[in-house]
Amino acid sequence: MRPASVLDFDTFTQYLGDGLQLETGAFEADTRLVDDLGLDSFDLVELLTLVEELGVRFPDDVAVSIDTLGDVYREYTQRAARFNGG
Amino acid sequence: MVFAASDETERVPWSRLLADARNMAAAMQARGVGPGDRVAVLGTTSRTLLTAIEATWLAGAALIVLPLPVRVGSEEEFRASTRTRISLGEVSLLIADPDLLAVVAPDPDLLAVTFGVLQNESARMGEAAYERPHDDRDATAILQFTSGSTSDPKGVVIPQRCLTDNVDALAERAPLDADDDVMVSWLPQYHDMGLVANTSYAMLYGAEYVLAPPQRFVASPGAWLEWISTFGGTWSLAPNFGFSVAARLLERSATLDLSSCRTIGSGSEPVDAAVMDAFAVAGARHGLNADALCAAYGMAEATVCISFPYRGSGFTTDIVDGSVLEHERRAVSVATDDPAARRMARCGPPVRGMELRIVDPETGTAVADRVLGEIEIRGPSVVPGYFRRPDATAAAFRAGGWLRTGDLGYLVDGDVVVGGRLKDVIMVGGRNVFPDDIERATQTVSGVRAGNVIAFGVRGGRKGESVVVVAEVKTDDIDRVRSDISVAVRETVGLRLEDIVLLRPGSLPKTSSGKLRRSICRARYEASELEVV
Repeated sequence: MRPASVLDFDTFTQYLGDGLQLETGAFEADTRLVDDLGLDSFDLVELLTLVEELGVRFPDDVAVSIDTLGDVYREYTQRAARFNGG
Repeated sequence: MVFAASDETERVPWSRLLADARNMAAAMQARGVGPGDRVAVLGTTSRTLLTAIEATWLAGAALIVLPLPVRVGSEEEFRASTRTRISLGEVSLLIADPDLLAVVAPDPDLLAVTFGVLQNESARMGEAAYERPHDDRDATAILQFTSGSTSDPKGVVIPQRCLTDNVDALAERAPLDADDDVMVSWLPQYHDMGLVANTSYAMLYGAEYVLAPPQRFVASPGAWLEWISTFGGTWSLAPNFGFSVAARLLERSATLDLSSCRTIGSGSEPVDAAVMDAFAVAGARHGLNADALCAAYGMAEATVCISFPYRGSGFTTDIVDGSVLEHERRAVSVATDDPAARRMARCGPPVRGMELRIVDPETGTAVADRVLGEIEIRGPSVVPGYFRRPDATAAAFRAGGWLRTGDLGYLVDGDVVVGGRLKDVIMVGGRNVFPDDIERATQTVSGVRAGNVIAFGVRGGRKGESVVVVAEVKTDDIDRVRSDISVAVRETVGLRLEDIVLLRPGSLPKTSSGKLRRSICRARYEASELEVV
């Protein structure tokens, strides 16, 4: 599948927050997935599934190294942009 | 077999793996390892790990596959639980990845080597160095530490005779033909479904085995189905949560070829019928034959497999009144559109040689069909007991050699339906989580009243079950306690809590003797009857 467009940061994090059933709080670029959001390994599978549902797949080394929402968004936009020829 | 360890795949014939394993077994023997010893392995899924697993068996020793850390950072808990297993398992030799060995820092008295060191020693072994030990079907093949909490781990003793019997019984239901079947797996080797139902089965039957490390599935869940498509996979098992994410990804993914699948089974945690339906519907677009789907039931105490449907019978359900099932423990059939309808997964008939009965858990007497009772099993795959734990072994068996599974279930036309649990274990994504471990972590938080914490699982959600903590607090600093509990549980158990409920002192349900009542607490939670601070 091809993403219709690249989501902006707020829409993207809201989408992840809804999918992960997180209490809506301030999602910032430096919000850490594990230490701030408390995600466990099943949540990380879910998070990567949500990203795949946007048509973007991270390579394994990226998937294990992402630490913050900003990391996830940066990797997402780089790959989503490529899909769109951007 | 094929190792899908990275984007590069490595194909290794079983004969080559066997030759390597013979050399490694010789190296183990040179270090004094033999029958009666226990070898623990700790490493990510790799060709070397599989070689060490086979080598341990060739040396006649018992295998312990130690779990990997739940996440990087929870080092202390990982070190403590690994050392406990090594000590309780009376390990003679530990083989580990170098970074993990450094974290565990085992007792200097323990013989511990890295995979690399043992491989170097293996390479120096001549053809004739390996000495085959005498056959002993009662010798322990696997010591499986999945039953029991971190504070009270119990090693399930799986003798060689149980291992081969259970694998043969599985083969009768879900055959693997060495010439044209391809098993695909990303399950960890420290999990019985990965080690027994996949690795041991593929190894003993010589079938093509495509094996990926679990972290590859975690990194890109969609890869599982792509491996099936790429390698022509015919046989694959996963826990319910794997089917749940796969179903969603199949809806959107580029077209795959899943037409090769003959057996694709859900096991090791409660099977959600809606997830299986979604997977079947999404898979159809990729050529998946719905008859390949099935649900199975098992546990380490049965080696792995208790019941499994015959190949091609597909995923089937029994539709019952959910409320009657829960409150009256009877499975009363209702129409699909009945508001109380709950679709229960049928897990097939008991495997060959497995006797199964449903009894009243209090009295041990058999109950009628469609009455929910404790599932008890007996037969050649049922293990003799727990390692060095006569107390736990005695408690697990009833007179006549019947093993109490601790699961509630009923029979319908010979199929096993699992409908609840007597034991307190919570099943999250195929992993057994023990309330004691969560309660202990919660009690370390200042402001929580020690001994006044209850953890339990609630049904539903993508993880299968989610964990709720209810605790009495003696402080007004509620937000801080809440946040500390969440951190403590994540650090020690590696899970995010679904909910944290804080109560005033004295309001947690207990028996007259002061024992915590988890089931009552859960019922009150679900009915929103707890008096929250």
